[in-house]
Amino acid sequence: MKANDVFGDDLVATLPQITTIGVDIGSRQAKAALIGGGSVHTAITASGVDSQETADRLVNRLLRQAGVTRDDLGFVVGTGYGRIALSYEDVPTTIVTEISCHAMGAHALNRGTRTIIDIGGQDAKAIRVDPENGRVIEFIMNDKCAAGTGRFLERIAELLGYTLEELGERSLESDKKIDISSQCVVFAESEVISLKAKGERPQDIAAAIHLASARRVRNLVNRLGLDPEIVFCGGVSNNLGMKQALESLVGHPFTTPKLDMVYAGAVGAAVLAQRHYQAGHA
Amino acid sequence: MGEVLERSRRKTSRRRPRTAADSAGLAALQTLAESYSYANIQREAAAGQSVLWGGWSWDSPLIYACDTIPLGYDQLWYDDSRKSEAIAEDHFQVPGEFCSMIKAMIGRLHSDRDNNIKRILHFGSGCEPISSVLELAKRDGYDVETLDTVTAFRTAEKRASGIAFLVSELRRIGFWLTGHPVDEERVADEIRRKNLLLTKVETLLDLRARHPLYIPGIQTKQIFMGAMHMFGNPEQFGIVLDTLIAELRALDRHPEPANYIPLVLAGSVGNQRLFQAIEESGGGIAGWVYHGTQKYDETLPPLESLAHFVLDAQARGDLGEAVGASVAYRRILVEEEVRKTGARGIISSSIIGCPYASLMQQLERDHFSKLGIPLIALETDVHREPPTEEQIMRVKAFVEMLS
Ligand code: SF4
Repeated sequence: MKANDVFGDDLVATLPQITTIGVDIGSRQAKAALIGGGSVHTAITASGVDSQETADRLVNRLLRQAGVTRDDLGFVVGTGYGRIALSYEDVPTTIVTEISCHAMGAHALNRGTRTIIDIGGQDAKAIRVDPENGRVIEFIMNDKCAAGTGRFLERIAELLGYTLEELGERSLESDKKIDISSQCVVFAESEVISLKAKGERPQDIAAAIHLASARRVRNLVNRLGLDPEIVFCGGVSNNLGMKQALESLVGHPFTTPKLDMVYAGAVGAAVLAQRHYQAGHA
Repeated sequence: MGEVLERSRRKTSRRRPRTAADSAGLAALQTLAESYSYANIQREAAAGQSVLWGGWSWDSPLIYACDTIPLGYDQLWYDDSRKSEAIAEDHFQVPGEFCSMIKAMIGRLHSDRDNNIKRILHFGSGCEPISSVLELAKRDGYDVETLDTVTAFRTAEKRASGIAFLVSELRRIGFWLTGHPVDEERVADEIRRKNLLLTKVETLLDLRARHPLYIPGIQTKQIFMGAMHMFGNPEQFGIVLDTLIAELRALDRHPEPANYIPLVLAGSVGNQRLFQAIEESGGGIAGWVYHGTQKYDETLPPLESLAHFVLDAQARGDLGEAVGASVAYRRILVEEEVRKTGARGIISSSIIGCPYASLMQQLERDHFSKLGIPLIALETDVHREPPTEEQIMRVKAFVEMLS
């Protein structure tokens, strides 16, 4: 993809002419983005046990896609839960938290972003962003409860006989409102089992689960205050059921940037890598 | 963006010694702190030294005057804390979600019921759950004495009758420890000695505010604790403080630009790895609201001086839950510290499951949000395992946000 199409001319004009990579090793998926030669490339894979090995695979894939070599790489920024293990001897590398990377990524992909809702494999975060520069103003995260996270939805999909992708899509076919009273993962699971036993349609159960999870996330976001424009990112952002449930509870439609928001952290990391290079940290 | 840039620059400019290996003062502090371990003091108790659990805070001059070493409760969860917690939950049926300090305390007291430190001193105005736990400890044969509750939430409420009552309570404790009336001259000596050390701690903290990375968070916490119990060795603690003050004064003579984000820490951080996370991400704890450095009034009769000290601490918010200060006060001290140090953000810390601290944190959150001062609320426990990656990330992201 052309960098100008993805980021807009104003941002691209501020970037140095160098190739950088951002690697975001999440708990479920590892994502990477390469910025260079006027283009943006992305790659995704399942997070392996060895973060470095996963990152190497992604980096090599991106270099091939972009038709450049390792020597062309100016800087790498690592982020995500697997970031601690990341290091490259031959390329200047630094580590930045996913909060800053997501903020910068959402800003780069949509300049007006003020609020980010980021739901990943094992946590949910809400971040307020300065629309002027993509810096974090405030953030809040829920790392104690798995409700609504990728891991939770994966489990529910399994119980309903769907793939994770199907869970969101099929929930949109729901025509019956069911109340899930429990917001706790463990209890919600048993509630799903008993709803199935009662003969409720999986589509309706899926919609109910999304709504219950979205309520939990909305409560988190409310503590931070919600400034549109809101961008939904992280691994769960591709789940249409969750997106719809959240939009209806929050009362604002989410902005949809030109790139899949699953890559927001990796893109933010790649933009930060450009800034690092620019600042002479190479 | 600036955060990352700043951090890289910082890496190259930190040339000063930062660890115990580089600083004679920090090395001596480490040795002293290690000597004040449960195992060592237990050995001293076995050799006939009078020792008791508690009495390490505002009341330590009285305890030292009774030739007794006060052993801090924190030694009860220093090791084997998971095992102790399991005993609390299984044997005493303490709910799982309860404060890990309380659980580790009762569990360890129970598993160590046959050892020779059997006396416990508690101040009834402090944490209420601790009082309940100590009631359970009595069943295991502990000799528990509680200084009865006296409270003055405002200096104006500090009544003569309250002071007189506390003085009589302190006399009773002196008798309990020695079998005879306490030698008040000795208490006065101990007060003078502690005041001297508190003055040194105050000087050290003032100097440290300009060099927060020289004495990292973990060691600063040790100094705060030492200001209370003096590690059972007041002379040596004084030497450590003098050494560190000299080292900090030397740094002061060659000031370097501040390459950290100044922060104020409110309360303690249970998990030491979190201190490292703060410092690794470029934060420096320039101000810390923990135990105060107020002095005892040497012009008063010694036991009265102790009584005034604790009631004044309640009215100021110093010493927090240990003396039953109101939850409303810490934020005032934190705000003062932010103004004094020019801190850019606040880390408000508490122990998971502590009813006192969770309310205090809520008040702090609301207060500083109105003032527009960024605050992050951390909840930790007393266990020594590394914190979760999420906890570390929150701290790092907070510092990045402020840079
Ligand atoms: S952390 Fe709170 S509940 Fe636990 S011992 Fe301290 S004051 Fe009591």
